[in-house]
Amino acid sequence: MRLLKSLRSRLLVGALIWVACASIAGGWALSYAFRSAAEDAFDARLTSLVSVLIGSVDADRNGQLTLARGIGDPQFEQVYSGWYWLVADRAGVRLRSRSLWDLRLEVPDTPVTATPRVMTTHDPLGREIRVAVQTVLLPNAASPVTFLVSGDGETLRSEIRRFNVVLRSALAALALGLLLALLAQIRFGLRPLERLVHEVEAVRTGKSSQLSPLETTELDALVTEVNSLIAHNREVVERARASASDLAHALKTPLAVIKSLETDGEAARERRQQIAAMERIVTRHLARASAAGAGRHRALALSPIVDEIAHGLQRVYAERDLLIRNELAADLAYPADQEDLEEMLGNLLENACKWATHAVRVRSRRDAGQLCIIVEDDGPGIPDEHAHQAIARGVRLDEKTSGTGLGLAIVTDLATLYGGELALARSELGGVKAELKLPT
Amino acid sequence: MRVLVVEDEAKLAERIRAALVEAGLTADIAPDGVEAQFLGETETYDAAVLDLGLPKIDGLSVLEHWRKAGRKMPVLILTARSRWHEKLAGFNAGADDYLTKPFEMDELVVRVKALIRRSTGHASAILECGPLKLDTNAARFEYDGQPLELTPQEYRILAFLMHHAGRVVSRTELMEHVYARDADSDSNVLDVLIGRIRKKLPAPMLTTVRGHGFVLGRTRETS
Repeated sequence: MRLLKSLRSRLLVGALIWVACASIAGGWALSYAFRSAAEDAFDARLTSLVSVLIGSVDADRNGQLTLARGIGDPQFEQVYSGWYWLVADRAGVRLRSRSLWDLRLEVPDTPVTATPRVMTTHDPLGREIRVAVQTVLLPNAASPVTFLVSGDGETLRSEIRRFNVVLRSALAALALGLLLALLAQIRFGLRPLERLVHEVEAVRTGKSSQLSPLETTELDALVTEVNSLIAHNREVVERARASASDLAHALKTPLAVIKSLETDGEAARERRQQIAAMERIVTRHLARASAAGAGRHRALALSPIVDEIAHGLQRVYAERDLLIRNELAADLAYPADQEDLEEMLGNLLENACKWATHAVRVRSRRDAGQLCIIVEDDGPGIPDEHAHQAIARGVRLDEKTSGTGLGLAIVTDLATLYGGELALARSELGGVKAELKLPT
Repeated sequence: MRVLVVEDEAKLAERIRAALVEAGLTADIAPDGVEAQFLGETETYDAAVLDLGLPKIDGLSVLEHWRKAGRKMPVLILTARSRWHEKLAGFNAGADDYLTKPFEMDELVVRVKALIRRSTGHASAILECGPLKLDTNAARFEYDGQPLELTPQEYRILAFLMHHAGRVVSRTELMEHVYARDADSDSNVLDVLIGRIRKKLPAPMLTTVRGHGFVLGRTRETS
């Protein structure tokens, strides 16, 4: 059931069921109670009217029945009102209400009793009537006399109907009110869950490092568990990264030894190529394993990093008399892991320095939604068809200038981690223009 | 020119030393951080090749220690750690160059030589002193375009003097920079070697300054 996949609809469906059941059962019980009470009251009224009628009728010495007093209710005067009375003895009907007019009611044969018998029947017009009958012995009367009073059954039924209408609307209003209250309660009750979702999302996107407590007893146990899970995961990842890095570093010294043992010759050259391939693989994967990637980072000023790298490179290339011009604005900053930034900028600058004749220039540009860091050199440049290769596979473009393409491949890998990219083009300085585009 | 090779992998250290010696340099090996720190501080070196992942004391600490102790020899960091973060840490500790493992032995030698040249104030790979010319990369002397035939020991002495041409180099200084630590160095042998070099030089440009040492070429005002 798709409906039941939502916690909210589960609660709501449950509530609907019990509210409906409670309303129906309650309505039925109330209606039943009212009907019984109304019927009892009606019957009691008819019974008392019978008593009044008995008290109103006298039998004279001849056994003639006379009405001493009338029954006050005007309904008995209205023709065919359903409210009838009659007095009969063996010989037939002796007295009757005006309302009966020409109707003939069948008088049930009843024995002499102390209290009236009540039943439901129909008058000759088909109207449902409730009848109270009692047969009594009157002094002077020749035979037992039967007193009958009837009331309009419709009166009773419409009364019950009216009550039921009121009952139904009241119950419906109550059910609706309950459901609304319940909806509000579900919303309110489930709000910590929504917050929990936001908290988890914040951790995933790196905005926070762990879930903050929700101040909800039931969920805080979960929060604690999730937090320890996050911590555990982080530890596992850290360990995996550390061992990947250790493995890569450990491989490098033996590789250096093997490399130093190789001499000239066809086979040796083949081996050297394989060693170089291993070196590239190790270095590139090491760079990937060490990368922190996008996440929650402080914005770091780029210019000082470039200065620091330039300082180091100028020492390395001291003989070449290189001019590294840092044209980045002092307040230019980007939120990234410091080591990742150093790695990207370092590789770009190093590559530029390797190829440059005299000058390397670093500047930046802000495009829509991205920061573009441009590193250029005035070297010979690379042919366009090699530019793509340089980025894609980390191949060496020139075996003498070692690891050139590898550095760019590492930059590309890192840029991709941050949702950015690296593009190579021809610089107006003459050499390569590397554009590192990072989303902002 | 004496180089300290700090590398814990014995085979690699030996290879590096062999390559440096072949290139006309002298090299000592320190297999761990403690010894590296001690040697760098007590002996005189013209350059150091420093591995960062060392037993006992890590390379960066060794380097910082040297710099704190006023040791200014150029240092080439040799490391498996290829991230820029680590390179920057190396530069900040006072390194002058770095090379990541695995590396080309030729490249290491070229870089070490370049470091030595730079530290002695020479920008080019070719050092000149009058008609005498030293191609540091090829490890070859020429006099007026004619190659000079020298034994390795002679080459090492003349190369050091060439790097410091015009300055009086003391006997001790020369011995320190030309001989490896464990070499059997004898002052008399040095005199013999100097005498042989003098004979091979067509002009009398290597002079002895009595009580002070030797000087190649004309004496510059003390620098």
